[in-house]
Amino acid sequence: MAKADAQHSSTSGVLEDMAAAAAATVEWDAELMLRLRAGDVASFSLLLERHRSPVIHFLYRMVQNQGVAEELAQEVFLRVYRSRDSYEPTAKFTTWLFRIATHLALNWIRDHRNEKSSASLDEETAEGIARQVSDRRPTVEQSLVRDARMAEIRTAIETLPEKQRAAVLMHKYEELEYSQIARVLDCSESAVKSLLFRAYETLRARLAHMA
Amino acid sequence: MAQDRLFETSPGVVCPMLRDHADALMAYAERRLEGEKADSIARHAMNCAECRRVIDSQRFVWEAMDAWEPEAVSADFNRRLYRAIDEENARSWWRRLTNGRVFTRWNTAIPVAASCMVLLGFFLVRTPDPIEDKKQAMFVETVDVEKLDRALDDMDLLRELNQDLGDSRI
Repeated sequence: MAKADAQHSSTSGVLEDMAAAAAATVEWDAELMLRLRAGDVASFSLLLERHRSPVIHFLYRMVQNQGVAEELAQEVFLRVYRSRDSYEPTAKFTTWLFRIATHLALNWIRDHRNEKSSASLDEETAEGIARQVSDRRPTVEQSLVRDARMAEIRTAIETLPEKQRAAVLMHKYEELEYSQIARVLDCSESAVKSLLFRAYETLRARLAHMA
Repeated sequence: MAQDRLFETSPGVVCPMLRDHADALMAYAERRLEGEKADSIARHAMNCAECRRVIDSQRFVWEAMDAWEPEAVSADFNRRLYRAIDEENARSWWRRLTNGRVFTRWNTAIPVAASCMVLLGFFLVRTPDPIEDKKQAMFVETVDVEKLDRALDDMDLLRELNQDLGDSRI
C-alpha cells in the first residue's frame, strides 16, 4: 500500500512537472511573439523553428498533399508575421496558430473538393518499395501490406467531414485540449466532443477489419 | 441524444459508462487516465463487452494513426518564407497601409476623406494667388517706371534751369 502510494505520488509529481513545462512553453511562445512585436525579428525565426513541423504535418494530414501543405504553411507564418504589430496574448499562441492553419486548410478543401488531392495507391506503393530499398525491410510483401494499411488510414481520415477531420488531427497529433480545439473551430467544447466522438466512431468502423 | 446512439450496445440501450463518462473512457483508452477513475473503468470493462470493444478498437485506431508518418519538410521552406517576407516589406507604402485592400469600410474611408478635404482646404486658403501677385508686381513695376521717367524729366529741367542761371550770371 505504501509502495502504491509512493508510485502514485511520484507519477503525480511527473505529471505536475509536465504540466509546468507545458505552461512554460506556452508562455515562451507568447514572449517570443511580444518580442517580435517590439521589432526583434530573430524571435520570429525561433517561433518558426518551434512550430514549423507541427503546422506542416497538420496541414499535410488535412489536405494529404505535401506541396499544398507547405504552401498553406507559408501563408500561415506570413499571416503570423503580418499580425505582429497587433498581437495580443489573449489566447495560447498554438490555439491562434492552428486557428489560422485550420481556416486555410478548410478553405482549400472546399475550393478543391472535386479535385483529387491525395496520391494514388499505386504511387504510394511505389514509394513504399523505394522505402523498402532504403530501409532494408525484410520483404516486399510486408512493405506492400504496410503501405496498403497506410492508404486505408489516410482514406479513412480523408473521408471524414472537414471539421471532424480537423478536430481528430488536432486532438490526436497536436494534443490540443478540448477548449483549444473549440476556439480553433469557433464552437463549444461540447460540440468538439461530439465531433470527436463521431469521428472516432467512424474510424473504428472503417478500420475494424484491419484489427 | 445523438451522442448516445454512437454507443448503443443494442438498439435503444446505451451502456451508462459510455453515455455518462465517454470522456473518461476515451482518456482511459489513451492511457491518460490514472488513479481511482482508471481503476473504476478497468473494473467496468472486465464485465462490459461493449465498453471493452470500444476501448480496444479505439486503441487500434490510435496505433494505426501513430504509424502515419508525415513527409519531410522541404529544405528550402524557410528560404521561400523569408523571401516572401522580404517581398512584402518591399511593397509600396500605400499597399502596406491598405494591406492590399481597397478601403471597403465606410467608417475608415470617411475620416480619411474628411482629413484630406481639410488639408486641401487649408492649402487653398493659405496659398497666395500667383496671378494676383504677378499683377501687383507688374503694377509696382509700372508705377516705378513712371516715377523714374518723371524723376528724369525733373532732373533735365533742373539742369536746364541751372544752365540758364549760370549763363545769366556771366
